[in-house]
Amino acid sequence: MDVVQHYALSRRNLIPSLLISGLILILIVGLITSAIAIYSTFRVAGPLYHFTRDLERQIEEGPLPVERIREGDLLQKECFHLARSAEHLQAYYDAMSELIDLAWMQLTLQDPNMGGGLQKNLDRLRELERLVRF
Amino acid sequence: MTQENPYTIEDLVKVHREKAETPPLPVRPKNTFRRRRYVDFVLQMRMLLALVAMETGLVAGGLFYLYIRFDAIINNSLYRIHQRQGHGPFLEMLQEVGLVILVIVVINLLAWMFANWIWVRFVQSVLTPFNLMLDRMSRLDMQEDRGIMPKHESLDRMLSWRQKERRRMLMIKAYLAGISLEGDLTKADVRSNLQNRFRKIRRILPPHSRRILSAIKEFREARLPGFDD
Repeated sequence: MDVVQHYALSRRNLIPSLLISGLILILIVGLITSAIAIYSTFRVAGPLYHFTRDLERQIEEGPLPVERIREGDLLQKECFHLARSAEHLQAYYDAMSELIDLAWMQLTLQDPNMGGGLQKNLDRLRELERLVRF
Repeated sequence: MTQENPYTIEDLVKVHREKAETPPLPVRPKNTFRRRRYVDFVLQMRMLLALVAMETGLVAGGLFYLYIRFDAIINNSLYRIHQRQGHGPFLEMLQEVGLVILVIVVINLLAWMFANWIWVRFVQSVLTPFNLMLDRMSRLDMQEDRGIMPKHESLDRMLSWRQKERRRMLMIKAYLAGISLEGDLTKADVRSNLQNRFRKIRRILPPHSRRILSAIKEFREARLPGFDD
């Protein structure tokens, strides 16, 4: 008789117990899913945001050294790539600035093209300019 | 026949590195506070909501199934007179729970694989043109970037950066083409005219990197008036 009573009690309590355990389960699963989804996508989102801000600085202030991203972040290769591009650009502009400064200085002399110096300088500038593909 | 260019970008970078004296930038530590950023808010939010909705549906469906099965098991047990050894209602319920968990795990794995596929595809669609443009920039290839869709802010900025540098380089090219050393360079007005042209190019060029700044300092100290006007 006891066994029958226990079964009847179990049957009566089946719906509330399943509902409560279901709600707890949904809450836990929802939280875990959100946490995993956010963590896995943010390791990409962070570096991309960093690149965006860095490119804004490049646009405003010309070629600048690129700040590195966090050690554990993804897209380390892209960060290096960006830094390398900025450095190439800076190296190119530096070389050009140097030759322009030299030409300007030569023009302060009485005979700027003495020994063909200024012409050589101008030729170098044009060679530098030819490195760029339009 | 075109004359061979003595310059290469690799050589320029080598010289730049030798002289730049720029210290390596510190790597950001792993565990610093990170603010919440989205690559694509709509995509990430949709994926997140879809996953949470799927989990909720799975749990609700699983519980409904368990309710039906448990009810049936209890009913059967109520009217059963003889209980077989090792085949009680508890064991049957446990089997049903195991089945539900297995189904949920399998569906979750498939859903995660699908979500990952969507995510990787999206990230690749941003990174492929991003890398392509960086590669072109490294080679000083300033041809127009046609057919690139700015799917993300970073791509949009990259396009703007390249356009800005392209405009700058085109202006330098035009100014250089206008410089000619014909004329009597011993005359002050001819020299001054040329100086003005060089100064114009100088203004288009970006600020010097660190090594050039020290050279400029020396230049100023040598008292050459008018250069930075």
